[in-house]
Amino acid sequence: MEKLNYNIDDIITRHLLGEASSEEQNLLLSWLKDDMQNQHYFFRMKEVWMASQSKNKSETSASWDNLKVRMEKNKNIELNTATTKTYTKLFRYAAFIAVLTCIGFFAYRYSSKIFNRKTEITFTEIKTSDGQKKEIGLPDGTKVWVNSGTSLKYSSDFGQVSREISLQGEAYFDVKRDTSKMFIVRAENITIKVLGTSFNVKCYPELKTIETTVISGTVSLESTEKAEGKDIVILNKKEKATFLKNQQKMYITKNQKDDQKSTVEPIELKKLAISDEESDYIASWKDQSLSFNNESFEEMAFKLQKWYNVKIIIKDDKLKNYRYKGKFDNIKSIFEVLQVIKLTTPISYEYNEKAKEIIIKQAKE
Amino acid sequence: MQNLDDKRLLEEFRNNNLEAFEQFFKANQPSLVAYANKFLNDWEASRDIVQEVFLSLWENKDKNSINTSLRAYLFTSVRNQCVNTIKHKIVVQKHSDSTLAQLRELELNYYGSENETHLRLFENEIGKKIEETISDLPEQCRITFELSRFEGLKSQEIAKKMEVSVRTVETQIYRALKVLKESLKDYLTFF
Repeated sequence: MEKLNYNIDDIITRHLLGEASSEEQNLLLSWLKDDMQNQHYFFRMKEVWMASQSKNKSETSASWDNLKVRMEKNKNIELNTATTKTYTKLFRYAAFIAVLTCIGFFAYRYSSKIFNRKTEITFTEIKTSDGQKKEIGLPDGTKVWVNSGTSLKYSSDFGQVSREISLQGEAYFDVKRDTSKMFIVRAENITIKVLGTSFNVKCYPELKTIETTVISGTVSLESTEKAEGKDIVILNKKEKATFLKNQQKMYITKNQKDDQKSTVEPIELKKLAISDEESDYIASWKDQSLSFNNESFEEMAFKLQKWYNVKIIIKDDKLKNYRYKGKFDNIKSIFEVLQVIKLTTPISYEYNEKAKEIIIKQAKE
Repeated sequence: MQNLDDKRLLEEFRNNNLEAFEQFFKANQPSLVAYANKFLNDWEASRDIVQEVFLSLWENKDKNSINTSLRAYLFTSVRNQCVNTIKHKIVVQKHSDSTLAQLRELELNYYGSENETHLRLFENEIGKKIEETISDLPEQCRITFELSRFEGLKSQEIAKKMEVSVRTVETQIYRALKVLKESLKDYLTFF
């Protein structure tokens, strides 16, 4: 070899451009064979190169027209062959039926159970009432923590064809990895697809938003309103997607800390354990702790309603501007929580035991 | 016809609901063609393969041979077809140009270990990201890249047009690629 001095990036570029000499191609080949690292480097480059190619020339409509014609054609062929083969088929059926009759006779004794076995699909529903929480295992080994007032449904063939589940309410999923079967959560207007990660979904019909937070791994999210699938969002670890139902829009919050939605500084609920990571907060309910991270009074009240199975009525709109941050561990009664809130916010409350209603007002200062 | 899940979609196909099939085709064909083109670098061949795969889906809709999601089934089929095509090309090439054939073989082995379900996650997002990245490139770099990639000009033609050396053109293109690679690094799934 004479030329030991060559720049591999130049050669890669020329190769991608289709302008490499055969000598350069030989160099590239031996460089690639040299080391797997080199292959990673090169194929990543190539992947980028291929992906960056102009517009997608899929010519979808023309291709469809063509396909439709071919579908019709094949249908006719199918019909023709079907008639010519009818006689041989008939004979085969006759023989087959004779055999079946014999089998049928013997099977009769054992039969009722076998033949009555239903193949129709049934659904399993897991429900929690307000104030109740559950930890369950799905047939595929996925663990799910189901929060209060939630319904989870999956069909009897879960895990065989796909892993699909529908959710109303809040649940934390720790998905068992299976690259051959996607784990799919349908939550109202959005569909969440993963291979194996843990994430939290909050999707109560009463709320205006659907929130998805990824604790580990990656998930793909799409809004089901658009058939074209343009609205796919990829969420990574410690990212949160908030879907606004009325606007059909998705917002992403990266790595928490500065939550752009907040207009008011969150009020810290003091004397309580406070963690830095919002992701810890979001999934914390599954470990029996109630937490708020920069949440409005309304959001907080909603959580409390679900948690303690009471109705909360906020009388003064002004209260709705307050935001809260903090974590409660093992608190038995809602009044303990209200007492802590009272430390920082001028509120007073009344409890109507019959109606299980708490009315919160702004206290006079 | 929206919001149908796979099972119901298949049912619609079995009832010969052409409209449902058309919608399904139109929603998925572009990303499948783009995917095939990554292997083949040939739009026409890619379109053909995708059409073939849809045709076979339609013809086999009554058989219960699909045990993944429909999209996963389509992507896997497209990929298998592509691999077959490439294998065939390798055989043909071996007689004429052994270096290129060996490069292709390496490529096939490399992509053979890639996980298509993972790739699929990113199919729709990536186009937007590429557009953004390209438009953010320094002007010279961007124009060079666009002339090469979108207008299909050869380096020499670009050099002439922009009154720079071929070497500069190559450097600019390489630079653009580096930036793209960096901005797409979350989407590149090979480890």
